[in-house]
Amino acid sequence: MFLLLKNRLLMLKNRLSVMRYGDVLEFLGFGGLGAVFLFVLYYGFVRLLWEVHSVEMIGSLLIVKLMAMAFLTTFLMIVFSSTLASFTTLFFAQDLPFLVQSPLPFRSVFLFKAVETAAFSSWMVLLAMWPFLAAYGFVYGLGKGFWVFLAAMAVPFVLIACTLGIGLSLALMCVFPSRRVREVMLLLGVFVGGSLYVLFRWLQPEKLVRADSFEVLIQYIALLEAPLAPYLPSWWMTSAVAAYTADRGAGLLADAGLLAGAAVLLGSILVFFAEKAYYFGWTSAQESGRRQGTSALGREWRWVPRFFPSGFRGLVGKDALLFVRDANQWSQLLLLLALVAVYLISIDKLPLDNAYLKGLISFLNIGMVGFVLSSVALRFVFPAVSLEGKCWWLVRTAPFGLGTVLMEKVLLGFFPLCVLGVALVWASNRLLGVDVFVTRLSVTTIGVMSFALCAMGVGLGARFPRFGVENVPQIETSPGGLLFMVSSLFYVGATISLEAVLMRMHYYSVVRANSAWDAPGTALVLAALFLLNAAVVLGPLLAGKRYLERADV
Amino acid sequence: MIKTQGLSKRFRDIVAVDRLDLEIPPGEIFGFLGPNGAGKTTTVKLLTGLLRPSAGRAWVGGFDVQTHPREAKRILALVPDQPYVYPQLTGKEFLRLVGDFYEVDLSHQKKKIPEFLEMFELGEWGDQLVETYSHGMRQKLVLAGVLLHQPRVLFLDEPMVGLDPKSARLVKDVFRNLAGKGVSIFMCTHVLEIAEKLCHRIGIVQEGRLGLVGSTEELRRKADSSGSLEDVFLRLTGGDEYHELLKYL
Repeated sequence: MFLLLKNRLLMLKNRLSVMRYGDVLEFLGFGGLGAVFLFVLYYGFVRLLWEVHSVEMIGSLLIVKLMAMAFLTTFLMIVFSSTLASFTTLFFAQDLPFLVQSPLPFRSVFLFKAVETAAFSSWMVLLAMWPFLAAYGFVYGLGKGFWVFLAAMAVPFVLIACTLGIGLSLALMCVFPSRRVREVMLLLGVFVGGSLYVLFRWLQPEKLVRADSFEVLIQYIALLEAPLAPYLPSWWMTSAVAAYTADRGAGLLADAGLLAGAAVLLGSILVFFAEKAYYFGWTSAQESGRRQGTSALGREWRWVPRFFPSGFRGLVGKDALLFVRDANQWSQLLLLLALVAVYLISIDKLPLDNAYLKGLISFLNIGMVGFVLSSVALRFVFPAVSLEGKCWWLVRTAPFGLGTVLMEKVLLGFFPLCVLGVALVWASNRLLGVDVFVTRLSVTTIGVMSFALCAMGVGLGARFPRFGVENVPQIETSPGGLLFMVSSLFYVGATISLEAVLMRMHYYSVVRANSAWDAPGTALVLAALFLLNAAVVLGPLLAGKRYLERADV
Repeated sequence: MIKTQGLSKRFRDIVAVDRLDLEIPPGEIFGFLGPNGAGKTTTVKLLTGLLRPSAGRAWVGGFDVQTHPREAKRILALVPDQPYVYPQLTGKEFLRLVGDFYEVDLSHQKKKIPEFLEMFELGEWGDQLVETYSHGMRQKLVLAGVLLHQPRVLFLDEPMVGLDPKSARLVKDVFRNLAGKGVSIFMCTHVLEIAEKLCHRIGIVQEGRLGLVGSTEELRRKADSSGSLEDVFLRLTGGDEYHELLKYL
């Protein structure tokens, strides 16, 4: 296994050694962008934790509760991510035939792929935890030792999560014949969707912001003190951090022991299980079943409107068919539906007593839906160009321009994204009972935002394509994916900031019962919004088109 | 039908194609030979618009590939060295896709797709996903797609790899037939026997530069060799170095 890991490091070294000056600059640029983004988050968390920490009696308890939520979410995300990633790395990776036919023991191949999966599925999630933990360390005045402690604790924490994820995919692959991977993914989707729902209802975050809903303060404190999912490693991790902060050696040892023990035990069980099942799973993954029945020629994409040009219709039909047939893709729609349900439930449960709060929340709701759309676009729209993969030659030699290809992908992403976004704001506005102006503003904004995010996603996906990768998460977590995420968040933030001016004028008009609308101000905001959206749509698309025209892909 | 003028492509410090001047008339099968890494695939990519040249120009059917790519692409077809086809489409769906890309009339597609599938012995596989196809079957599917839109210029990068003898014979007959109808064919291959039997002219490229060009007879004369095309090729590109190494095996 170490030989294989060494080989992987050598590949990385070779890749770095052929970087040109421009590549290094680009790499540093992305690194800098990521660092700025993390630092902004860190700064925000420092301010939040200072505020919470200063609350007497309950401040520290609330922070621990927040940390428990963060670790629980991180833990479930790593489990989910490693389950999805291991389907590719363990069963369909391009290097597997070479590795399997080599004289290496099968266990070594499995362990190598498991380590690869763990590294791949956890680095991003762990990085996302950094701003919170760094802010925590700063607020509590914990020194460098805190980082050593965290690094030591993170190893068993990640190992347990990945072991569960890999074990799940291994079990699913063995229980179901490979030709029924779709059903397996369906099951997985339901499992993840259900877990998210349970997680959210478990956390009940709305309770934390309403101390007054408890009859006595002691009841509230009891809620804060209660462990969150005490049988999961996320709580052991939280408890260990709390023990380290309070300098409680015995508690720290107990939690660290639990984490390490569980990691060793689960890891051993996984290796034992893999020795029995991995070869069977891998060989059955190589088999393909025959489809039954015949299809009538000419009906493949008859649902695509005929007013589109023939080539465009072919592209739309092909992309839709591939999406439906790629269980990796559509199984996550179930996750999306669970997310929508959770979102609407949380809007419904929000404790809003007055019209001002309702108005404020309904306005912020536009931003929240925008962020949801950004993550959906990152998952489904940004990878669209890269997913052409090695078949890109067919599209490039076809007699239509790159503009047609990019616009097809924008439109194909736009319709579902727009329906999702508009449905979300419309339903949440109904639940909040807001007025017509806010509803119109939300629906229009989300409609425009859906298009802009799709254009940005396709454009940046084309500017930073990853045609050679094996799975979608690799595309999402690429530097281009990071740039899209950061840019889309800034775009949503800028839109909300500009619209806050309109919202304020509307609110004053309602409160004062006479118009507070200022025509030049409104025109300025609308012009700024137009320019912002034009830049977001055209900039990335043109950059992507230009890059694809010149690149050797 | 195909013309290049000083066509060059440079990747960082490597010159992949170096000032290529070429002219291929309608109906000619042109064999493009050369050792691995000589720049054959890069040339095909430049001629089909998959790559931008560093210098020089290329025309297909009179259309500049860079300034009039759509017009050029409408009349050309490519069979790449690796027949990558969307694995989650069926054979029929792939051919429909190609038909729609090239604006082939639907009634023509409905008539021709089953015919081509039968011709390449893929009739029973038309409704199966491409992921279940062998390399040779994918190659034949790509060839069927090429025939569907009736190109006037055909670029073939190792078209015989993976084909069984019967299919290889069929494909060769198809190429001859197309050439007879005025289609120009630019073929990269390492199978020298095929080049010798099929091509009207052959060009040998080495380190990006086109060396000799001519019919097999002309090449023999120019290389001062009376042997087969293989002997001519080895004489021009070097091939005796391994004899010493063979002793150690």
